[in-house]
Amino acid sequence: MEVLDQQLMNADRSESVFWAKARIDNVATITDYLTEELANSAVENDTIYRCGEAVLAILDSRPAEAYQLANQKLYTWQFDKVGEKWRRLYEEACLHMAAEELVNLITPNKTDQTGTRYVGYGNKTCERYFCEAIKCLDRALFIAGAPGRRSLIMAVFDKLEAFLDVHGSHIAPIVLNTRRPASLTSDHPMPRELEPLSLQAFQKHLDSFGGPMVIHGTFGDWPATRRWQNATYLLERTLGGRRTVPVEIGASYTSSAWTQQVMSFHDFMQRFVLTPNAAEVGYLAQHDLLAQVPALRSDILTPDYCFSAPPPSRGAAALTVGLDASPELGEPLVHAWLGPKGTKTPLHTDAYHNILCQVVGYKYVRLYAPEERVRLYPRGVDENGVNMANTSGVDVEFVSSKGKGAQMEAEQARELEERFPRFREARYQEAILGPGEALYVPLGWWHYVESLTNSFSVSFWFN
Amino acid sequence: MPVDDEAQVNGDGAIRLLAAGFNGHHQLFAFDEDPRAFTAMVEAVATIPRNVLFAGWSNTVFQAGKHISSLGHQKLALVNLEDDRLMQCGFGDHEGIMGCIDHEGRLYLVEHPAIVEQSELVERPDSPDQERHLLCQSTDVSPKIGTIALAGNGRIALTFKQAPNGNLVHIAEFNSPLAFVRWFRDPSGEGNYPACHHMIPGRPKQLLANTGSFILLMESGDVYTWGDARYQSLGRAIGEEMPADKPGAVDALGGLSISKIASGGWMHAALSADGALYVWGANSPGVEGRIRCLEDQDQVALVTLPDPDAEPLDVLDMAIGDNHIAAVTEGDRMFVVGENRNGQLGVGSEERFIEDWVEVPNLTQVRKVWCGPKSTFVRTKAL
Repeated sequence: MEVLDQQLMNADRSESVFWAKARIDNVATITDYLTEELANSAVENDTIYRCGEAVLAILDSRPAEAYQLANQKLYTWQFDKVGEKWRRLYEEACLHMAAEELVNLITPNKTDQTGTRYVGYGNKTCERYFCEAIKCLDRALFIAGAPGRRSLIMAVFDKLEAFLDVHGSHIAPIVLNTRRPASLTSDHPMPRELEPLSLQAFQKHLDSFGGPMVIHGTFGDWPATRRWQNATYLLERTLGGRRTVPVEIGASYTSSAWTQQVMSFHDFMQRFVLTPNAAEVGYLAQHDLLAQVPALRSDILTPDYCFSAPPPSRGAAALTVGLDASPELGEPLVHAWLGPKGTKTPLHTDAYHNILCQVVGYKYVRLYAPEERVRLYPRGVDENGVNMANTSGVDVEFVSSKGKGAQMEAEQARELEERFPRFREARYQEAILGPGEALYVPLGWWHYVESLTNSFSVSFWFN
Repeated sequence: MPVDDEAQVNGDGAIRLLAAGFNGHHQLFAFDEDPRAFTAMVEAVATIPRNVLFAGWSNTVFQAGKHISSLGHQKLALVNLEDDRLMQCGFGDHEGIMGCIDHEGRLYLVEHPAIVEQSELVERPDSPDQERHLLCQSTDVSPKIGTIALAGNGRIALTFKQAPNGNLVHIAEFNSPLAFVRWFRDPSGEGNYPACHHMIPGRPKQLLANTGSFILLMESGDVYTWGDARYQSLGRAIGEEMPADKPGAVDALGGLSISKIASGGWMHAALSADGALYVWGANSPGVEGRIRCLEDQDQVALVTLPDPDAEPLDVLDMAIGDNHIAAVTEGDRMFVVGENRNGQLGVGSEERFIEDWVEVPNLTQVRKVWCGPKSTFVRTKAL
C-alpha cells in the first residue's frame, strides 16, 4: 500500500508545487461559480422554504448549524418517511459548507475557528480544506440524494476533475489481487447457462417462474471488465481517491460490531482492499457509487434482462417482505459492491428481481427458495425497532464452509442445530461467481453472498 | 400557584438566569457568538424569578410574573397577563413556540406556520421582525387541557384536565400540530378526531416528548412511555402485550416513586423522590460522540455523580437537550455531559463532546436547570 501512497498521493500532493498559486486560482474560479450559483439560481418548486425562515436565515452565515438540524431530521423518521424539504435543507447546507471550505482554501492568512492562523498556502492545510469540501458535496449526493442541485454538484465535480488533471498520468497500474479460489464441488449446484441468454429466452424463463441461474458471457463488452481491476484507475476516477464513500465495517450488517463510516475512497482502498489481511472487513456495499461517479457508470451498460417483464409473483414469493411498498421501477436500481475477501451479506430477501454482475473477483452465493422461509428463521424487529423480517436469523457463514475451504467448528454446528433445528432441512443452491458471470436472483429468493477474493460487483434490481 | 415554590423570592431576592450554547438567532444574547461558559442574561439581578417557558432551536420564551417575553428569531409581542396565571407546557419547533397552556387548562397559540391553515396563509406575509401574538384560544366549551407535549416527529399528545376527584387519565394523540388545532377548534368536526386515544388509571403529573416518543409521569410515581421505539427510547420491553405505540409502564423504574421526568433528543430521564437519576435512550444518531453512562444500560441506567466511585450526590433537578444532559445536585452544584459543539454544556471548554459527567466550574447556588436543543439555562440565587 505504501507503494500506492507514493505513486498516487505523494507524487500528486506532497510536492510543494501541488497547491501552487495556479491551482489555487483554479479553485477560486470554481468557488466563485459555486457561490454565485447558490446565491442566484433557484431550484424549481423548491421545498426548502417549508423548512421555515429561522433555518434559512442562517444558512449562509452558519451552514453547519443548518446542516446539524437537517441531519437530525433525517434520523427523526425512517429514511423513506423523511420529507423532501429536510433532504433539500441537508443538500443546501452541505453546498454552503463546501463553499465555506473552498473559501478557506483560497484565503491565505486566515484565522480558522480554532484560532489557528495560517500563513500563506500550506499544502496540508489546502488539502484538508479541499477534502472537506469534497466530503460536503458527496454527502449532499449520497445522503440527501441531491434532490435539488444534482446538476450543480456534478458540474462542480467536473470542473474539479478537469483542473486536477489526474488522468493518464505516469502512475503505474495497481492490480487488485483476485486469485481464483478452489472450485466448488457441490451436491446442490446452481444451474448455469454457459452461453449468453437472449432476452426472449430470459423472458420465457421468467414466464415459467424459473429459478435462479448463473449466466455466462452477458457483459463482456463492458469497459469495466478491463478497467476496474486496476486500483489506480478507480482512484483516478474519484479525484485521486478524494471522493467520499459510505463504508460498512464489520463482519455483516447483522453483527453487533457493525458500523457505517464515511471516508475517502483512497482511505477505503488503503485500509481494506489493498492491505492484505486487514484487521477489519470494510465493504462499500449497496451503494450508488455509479450515480455518484458518472465516469464509472459509463464503464457499464444495463443488462437487457432488466427490461424484461416479470410476471406478478405468486406463492411464497408474493409474501416477500416489503413487496407491497416497493414501487414499480422505470429504470433498474443500480448498486455497486466493492470490497476485500471476506465481506458477507447475510441471508436475506429483496422485493425485486436482481441481476448481479460479477465484474472483478470471486463470490460465493447460496440461494433458498421463498418456500423455505419457515426453515430460515426470519428475524423480528431489532432493538432499534427496525423490521428485520427480510433477514434470516441463521448465520450461513458457519455452514458455507465449502466455498471457503474451512470447516465449521463442532461447537458452532451444535449450537446452530439447537437454535435452528429445521435449518438443516432447507434446500438450497450454491455457486461461485467468477469474473464475467451474472447471477439471476428471482424476487423473494433468500440469498447469502460472501466474497472469496477482492471483489467488485454491480447489482441491478428490476420489477 | 403563581410561581413554583422553590423559586420563591426570599432573603435578598436576588436571582440570576444564566445561559450557554447556540446563539445563532440571538435567542440567548444580543451578541453573535455562542457563549461556551454560563453568562448572565439581560436582567442580571432580578427580584422576580424568570421561568423558561420554551427553549427552542431559534428562540426562547420566558415568563416572569405576569410578563411573557421572547428572544431570538420569532418575536413575541410582550404579554401582560391579567392575573397570576402560570404558563406551562410550552411547545413548538425549530421555528419557535406554537403554544402553551395555563394552570386552568386554557390553550394559548401563536401564529406559527405549522398551525396556520394553508388557506389562511398570505404569500410571504411578514417581515422577519413581525411580532407574533400569544393568544388565548379557549372558550367556555373548549376542551380543558392538563398537559400537552409535541414530539420532534410532529406527533402531539395531551391529557385532559382531570376533575379533582378524577382517577383516569385520558390521553389524545394527533399526527401533527395542525391536526391538534383543528380538533381543538371543532372537536366534533368531520375528520378532526384524534389519531388515537389512551386511558390510564391514576392522575397525571408531567407529560413530555423527545424526538420520537412520549413520556408520562403519574402522581403515583409511575412512568409510562410510548412512540418510536428505535434507539432504546422507551426504556422498556416491547411486545404484543405492550406495543410501542401505546403507553406502557417503564418496569425498570417500578417501585421507585419518580418525582420528575425530563426529555430531549432520543433520551429520557427520571428522578426519584430520594434523589436518584435514571437515564435511557441514545445519543443523537449520526452525530459523533457517546454519552458513556447510556452505554450498557439494561433498560434504564442509574447515574452516579460526581463519578461512579464516589459517594453519590442526591440529584435535585435535571434537563435534557438534543444530545446533552444537565443535573443539579445537593450542594447546589451542576453536572453536565454530552454534546458541546455550541458550548451548550457551559463549562467553557472548546471540546465538542464530553463523554463523562463533569462539574460546571464557577457555578454555585444552582437552583433550577432547563435545556434547549443546543443550549442550557440555569437559575441561581445570586451570592
